[in-house]
This record gives sequence, structure tokens and C-alpha cells, in this order.
Amino acid sequence: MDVAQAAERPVAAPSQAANSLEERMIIELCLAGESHHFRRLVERYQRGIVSLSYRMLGNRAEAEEMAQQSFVDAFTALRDYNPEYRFSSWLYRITINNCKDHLKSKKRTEQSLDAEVTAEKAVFAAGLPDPEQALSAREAESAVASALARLPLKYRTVLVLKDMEDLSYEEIRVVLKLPVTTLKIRVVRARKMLKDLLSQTESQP
Amino acid sequence: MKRRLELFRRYLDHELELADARELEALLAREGVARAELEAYRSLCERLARLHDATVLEPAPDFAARVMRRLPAAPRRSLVRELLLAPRLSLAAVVGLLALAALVWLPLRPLRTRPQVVTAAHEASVVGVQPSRILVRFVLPAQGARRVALAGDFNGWRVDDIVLTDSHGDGLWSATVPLPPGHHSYLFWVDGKWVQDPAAAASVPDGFGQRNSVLDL
Repeated sequence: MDVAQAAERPVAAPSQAANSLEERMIIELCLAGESHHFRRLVERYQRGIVSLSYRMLGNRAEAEEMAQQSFVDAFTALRDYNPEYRFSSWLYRITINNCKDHLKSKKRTEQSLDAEVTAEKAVFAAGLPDPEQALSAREAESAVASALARLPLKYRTVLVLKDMEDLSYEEIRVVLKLPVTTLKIRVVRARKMLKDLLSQTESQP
Repeated sequence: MKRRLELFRRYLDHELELADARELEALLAREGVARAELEAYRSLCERLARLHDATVLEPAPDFAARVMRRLPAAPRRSLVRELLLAPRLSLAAVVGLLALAALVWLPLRPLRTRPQVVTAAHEASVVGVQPSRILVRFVLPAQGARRVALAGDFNGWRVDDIVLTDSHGDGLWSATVPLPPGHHSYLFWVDGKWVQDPAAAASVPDGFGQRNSVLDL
């Protein structure tokens, strides 16, 4: 483990980069009544938003529904969008909030998500070439997904955004509206909880 | 322990300063437990990254179409904007709304506050209700332009009347203009040259060999 080498890696870029001119144009056109242009934003972000919803909810059908609702909510609230921030960050924020509300309403944080993870195993198999390798990789990923689903919602959320979506803390700050120091503390706790959960489950015979 | 976890986080998030790196190296050299712990964290982050790759979902082919079918007719407006933008909102309706607001507000205000009743007519002029006017946002991408104005039959083709702004400095110029319903011809005036609106639904000949953009409200 080369600590010095790790120290030289660049820090992630700040989140408040300007939106692309095309995106700004699409948004302005939508605000001016040309709502059909919104389809281009949907097509651009649909895969990311469906996947993000899936990572939060662990269920494909619910993820699609939640992603659709998030796009509808974004369009409805388009006048509230602040173009100083990335459109994708704003969309992430809406999606995360919708997923949280959905999970809270179903009180799913306390439920075991094992069943769902098992039901979705076919998804994890995608892109894994060797069947034997695929099986073990799938099991390993299932274990992580299952442990992640058991974390309290606020910890699961930061790990999904930080370690899965690979967002910078600045970007997560925009999405969750929490100070960066709070986020860093939360990430430390979340990783520790997940590591402990995994070591418990994986040490069992 | 707290410091150790913070050092681990900085390592995993690529935030180690040189002093941190030295401190962490010393810790790892000193304690085998710390080495194993950091390795476990590193492995965990890798597994989460792999889980990310394994959970990329392709949306259903009709995903975008279904979203578009569910969209409302237009983005939501705030109450003030709604009042400003409603073309057929009558003055009576505004007076009614203000009277209702007063009924709700008056009993709730602090008792020692001196009553201050503002007439509905005055309020209506303040909010700027413009019956039979529709606010239209004009947008033109004009990177590098120094001055962009809007001129049309609605302002006598004056190029010093409606000036667009590039408020974000990204070359996207915009202005919101109240216009009466009907048919309007217009052009942008960009650094001394007439430019058609690329977003206009149609254009018509201007009689001088050029074309004007048109807008039907």
C-alpha cells in the first residue's frame, strides 16, 4: 500500500461547474413553454437516475417508477432550479429525497432486503463473463448490497453517493444540503458500520 | 481512534496531505492491526465500486416517452408569478384573493400592531397584474456578443428598448417581456446586426429580402 502515491492523487473537481450551454438552453426553452425539449434531459440522465434509484431502493420496478416521478418533479419545479449548480446535482437531490420518502413511507429501513437482493441477482450477473467467477462475484456483491440495505438510511445514502456514485463531497453537499464536515463524519461512520456488518455476516459459516 | 479513522478516510478519499501521509505510514509501520483495518476499508470501497458497476440499469425503452406523458402542461409557478403571468386574471379575482388574505392575516397579526389596511386597488397595482398580457421569455445563445436587444412590432422595432442580459456570463442572453395575445414579428439585434430567433416556430418575409421570426400568442 503506497500511502505517498495516494497522497499525490488529485482531489475531485468542485461541483459548482457551470452547466453546459445546451442544458441551459433546454431549460430556458422548457420555461418558455417548449416542454417537449425536456425529453433530451430525460434521455441524457435516465440511466443514471434509474440506477441511482435502484441503488437506494434495491428493487427494479420501484426504481423505474421513482426515477420517472423524479423527472416529473424536476420538470414541475424547474423554476426553482438554480443554474449555479449542476442540473445533475439537482436531479440527484430530487431523486434521493423521493427515494428516502418512499423508503420511510414503507418503513423499509428496518426490513430485511435479503429477499429483494436475491430476487435481483440476475442484475448483478450482467457483464460477468465466467459462470464460476460470476457466481462468486455475484455472491460477494449480494453480500455488500444486503449489508448496505441494512444500514440506517442516512448512512446508506452517503455511501451510495460517495463510494458508488463517486461524487465529491462538494457535490454531495449540494445534493443533501449538509455541511462537508458533517458528510465526512457520516462517511467514516457509514464505512465502519458496513465493514463491521460485512465481517459479521462473512465470518459466519 | 478518531484520528486513525480520519486518516483512513483521507487515504480512501485521496485527501492525504504530505504530513498526513507520513503520519499514516508511521502508524501502519507500527501497528499490524491498523494495516489490516485499512486493507479492509480499501477492499470495502472496491467492492462498493464493483457493486456500482453491477447495478447500472438500462431503463425500459419507453422510459422517456412515459415520463413525457406524465409531465404537467408547464412547470409550476409561484403564487406571485401566477398572478403576474395569468393573462385572463381579472382585477376582481385579485381583489377577492387579497380580501381573503386580509381575512386570514388580520386575526393572526400581533394585537399591538397598529392596523394597516392597504386597499386592494393599491395592492393590485403593486403586484403588477396585467390583464391580457402574457410574459414571454426570449432566449438567444450568442457567445461573445457585447449587446443583444429584442425588437419587433410590439415595440416599434426599437433596438434600444428591450435589452437582453447574459446574467451567467455563459453566452445565453435572455429577457422576459409582457406581450398581448396575438401575432408578433420580431428579431434580435446583436452587435448591430439583425439575427433571427433560432428557437422560433416560424418566420415570415420582412419585405426587404430578409425574414422575421414570428410568435403567435
